[in-house]
Amino acid sequence: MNRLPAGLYQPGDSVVHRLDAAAKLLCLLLLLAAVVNTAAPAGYGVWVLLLALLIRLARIPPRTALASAAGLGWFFLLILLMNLCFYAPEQAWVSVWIFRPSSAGLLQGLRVAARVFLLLVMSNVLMVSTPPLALTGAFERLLSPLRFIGVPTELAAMILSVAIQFIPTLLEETDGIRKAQTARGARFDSPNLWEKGKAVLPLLAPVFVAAFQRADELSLAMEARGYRADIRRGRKKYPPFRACDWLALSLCAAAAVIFIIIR
Amino acid sequence: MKEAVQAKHLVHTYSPAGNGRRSLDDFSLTVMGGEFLAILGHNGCGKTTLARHLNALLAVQQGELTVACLDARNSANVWKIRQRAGMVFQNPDNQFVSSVIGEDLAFGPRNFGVPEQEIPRRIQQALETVGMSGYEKRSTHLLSGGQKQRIAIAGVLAAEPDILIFDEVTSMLDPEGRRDVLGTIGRLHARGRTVILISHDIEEAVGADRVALIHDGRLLAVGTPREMFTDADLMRRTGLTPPLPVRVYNDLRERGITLPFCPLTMEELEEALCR
Repeated sequence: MNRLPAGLYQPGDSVVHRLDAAAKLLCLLLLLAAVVNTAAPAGYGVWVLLLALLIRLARIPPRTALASAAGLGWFFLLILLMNLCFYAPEQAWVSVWIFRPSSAGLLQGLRVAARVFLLLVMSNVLMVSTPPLALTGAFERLLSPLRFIGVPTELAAMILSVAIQFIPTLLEETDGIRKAQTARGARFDSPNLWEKGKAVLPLLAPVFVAAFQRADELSLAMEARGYRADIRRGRKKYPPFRACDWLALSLCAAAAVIFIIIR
Repeated sequence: MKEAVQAKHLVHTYSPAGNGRRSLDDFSLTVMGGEFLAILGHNGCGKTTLARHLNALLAVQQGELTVACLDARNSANVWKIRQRAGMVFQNPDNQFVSSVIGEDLAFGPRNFGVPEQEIPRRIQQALETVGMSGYEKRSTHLLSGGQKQRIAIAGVLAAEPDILIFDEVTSMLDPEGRRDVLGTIGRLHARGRTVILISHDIEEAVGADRVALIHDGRLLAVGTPREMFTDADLMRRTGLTPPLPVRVYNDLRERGITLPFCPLTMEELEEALCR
């Protein structure tokens, strides 16, 4: 891989890095709720400013922060066009076959694109500023009340943590297979989408086979090391939220309330 | 000293009907406590099947097996056996449950119900034993192959087993990583652990107390490395190539030069040639 995948954890010592992972995850949910409920175009202006502030606070290079949305230009354009042409057919300027573009549609398209953009970048800030292990711990902590209705939260967290642990290994393996296939004439860098697609399909099969083999071996190794899915291990104790965690949570909650009321 | 492993007439087949090829066929072997036993054989000869029995990953189909004085046929003993007999696998990448080394090493002890406050001590001790103290907070992805395999060994050591089973642990490593891992295994044996090293590489078995040769699921012979490797007929039947110093000794003898003794290591060969 010639560039790092978006969302890879980057160690740091910023305010955002130091927040409790569970608090950060809750903050993200609150912010996303607020973003989705923002209707006024000016509101999105405010969001972009807030996002810039967040990235600055986290001391993440803007390029890294925006990496999750980069390369999705086509997707944004598609969102925009779909909304433009189909959102409000009764207010259409013109009607060409099934396409009925309207200014309300244009506005809605911009709104949805902005939401998706904010969602991607905010989640990315969380991922980049939180170690994967802390993140799975946070999931486990937030999901743990579900234990009482019989959801196997420990198991879910285990699956998640093992899956995350294998991402770099599988990326490396994919890269190896890709190089081997390139050496035998596969055309991954072809500008022709058809050629590119034809090259990617044969790549998937060996990657999947290898992943299953790994999973098989890992499950043996886990069993050998005494893992039992059915046994209750001691409840993990989580450190309580500190003042800064509560502060971040209240700020995000306030933002959510304000944006939902004003819309 | 007590027996660490005692296998009597073990039979195992992977085909459900029981009429297929036997991966283990009337296999009997005793491993003493504190012994370093190497198990050698070709790929597909039944080595891995045997290893998986020793760790109770495979259930006994026919015959008797006791590991650390626990009857492996009793399913209530499975977890105790896994705690007493730790197993290290071939590919270090497929043994980690967490990318943070400290977290990974805590996995075994946690599963075996070791008290939380004792776990950090165990992790430190395990890392020290494999010569990687201070790596708790590091990521497994940034290690070399040999280091990864040593961490995998530490992961097994953290559960404090008496018996260590190494199943082809060096076959995916570069020469340096291999030397590292074999050195670690040697040290573990020197500290009193029972070591069972499974390999298809004869050079790795030279330092063992005893060598067991397996062929087609059967135990062909067991004895000291010298007895095994210098027996040309036995080597031929197992399909293994003797270590290089033994081959040199044999070739020289064919040409009428007899060395004073048959060397097993390069150092011994040097000594024999210089005499």
